[in-house]
Amino acid sequence: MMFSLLWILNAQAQVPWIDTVDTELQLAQGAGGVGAWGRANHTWTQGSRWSVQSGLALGLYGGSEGREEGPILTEGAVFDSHLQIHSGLVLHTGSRHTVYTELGLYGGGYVVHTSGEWRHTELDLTQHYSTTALLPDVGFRWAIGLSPRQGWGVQLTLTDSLRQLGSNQGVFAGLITMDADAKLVLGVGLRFQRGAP
Amino acid sequence: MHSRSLLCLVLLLGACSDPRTDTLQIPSAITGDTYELEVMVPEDYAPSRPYPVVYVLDGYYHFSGLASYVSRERSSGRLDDFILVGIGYAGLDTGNISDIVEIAERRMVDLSWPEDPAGAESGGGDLFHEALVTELLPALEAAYPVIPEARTLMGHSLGGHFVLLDMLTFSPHDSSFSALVSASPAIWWADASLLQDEDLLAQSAEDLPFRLILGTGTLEGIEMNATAEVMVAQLRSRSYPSLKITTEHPVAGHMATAEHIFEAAISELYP
Repeated sequence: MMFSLLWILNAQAQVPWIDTVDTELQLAQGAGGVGAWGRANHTWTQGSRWSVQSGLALGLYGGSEGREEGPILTEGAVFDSHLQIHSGLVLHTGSRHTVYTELGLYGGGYVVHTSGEWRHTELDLTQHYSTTALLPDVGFRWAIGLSPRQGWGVQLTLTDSLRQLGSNQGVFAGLITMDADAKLVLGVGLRFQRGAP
Repeated sequence: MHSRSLLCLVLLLGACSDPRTDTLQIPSAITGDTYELEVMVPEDYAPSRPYPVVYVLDGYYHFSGLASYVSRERSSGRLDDFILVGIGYAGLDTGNISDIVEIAERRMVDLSWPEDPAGAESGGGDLFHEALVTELLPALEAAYPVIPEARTLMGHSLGGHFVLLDMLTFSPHDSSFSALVSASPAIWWADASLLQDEDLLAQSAEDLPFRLILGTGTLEGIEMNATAEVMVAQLRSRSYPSLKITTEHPVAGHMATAEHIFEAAISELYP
């Protein structure tokens, strides 16, 4: 809905404010495991082989949490919704500029909701757990894409939250997230371009 | 010292950038491992004065961050004096991938009990507990003046599980520790045997003389949070007269929770 509104506003403008749109299906670690992500971009400056752009992105993810082992059964679900502002550099390479690479940073936040139940059949224990949290977030995004024709491209992306860097776990562990307090995402999707300044 | 013939105590002054941090290496005849204790004393440390002491399991992960926190808080006059000790393994560096794997394997054995029914090499917590109480503590306390009645044990994840083992399984009536800090405890370990231990203990114990700070990150997932809630509810339902429980629930996942809870616990225990 947010993108539809932006698209309508964009169509009304004399100079299109949104010139590029990314849409992706994503696999994630940290909170929901699968999701859909979209971003509307504005290109600020464009050279022959590079451009600088910013964008507003929305990502929605969901997943299950469960373990069944011996007398223990855990089952539940986790959902997270992300709103991000991105800025980055896009480089175009290849003889016809058909390959593009994006490297950028984002800032924003997300809401996580977890709900489920833990049961121990031998001890006859059942405990419900649910939580909702709003978290600020910063991170980086890397994408590589192929644009065989003017106007669209197919891309592979990696997005990683930097929230856990500095939590005494080292750089490597800080980038590989386990829980919903950070997110590591692999995406595949399409980029549509309707023109740039 | 417990047994000088068993303990080769190496004092490496100035090994870290903090001039008040020392390192002791202590071989254990019980587990066969050599442990490394990182020790931070107060700025105005006086060998003639006894201090409370805080032992932190998995020191290779938690000691340096906690030492920075303690230094920062002390410089602002917000913490009482105590000696901070990180317990780790000698010769292993968390900056090296193969060492990280070895640390993970050793702590899986030392901090867990009973053995994992799924078959992972584990379940040496009883031996490590004996080594901790009869070898590591005496070695440290021979080198530094401590108040034996004011020892705190802190641990995270399997370390948090080990802390609860001290209270509920290994030494509920004669523990070496008066305060216990259990962050993100793996209560689910071995079919949640700790909950069964707690239940068994409640049938005979009239009191548990501990100050317990137990916490989980709200984003650690259902099992970690639900089992901690069950444990706290069970302990509170016993109405032990001397057991004082505080819970902490930072908005954090598993890895970040240790820092939050350890710092909150230190502020609470040594304001």
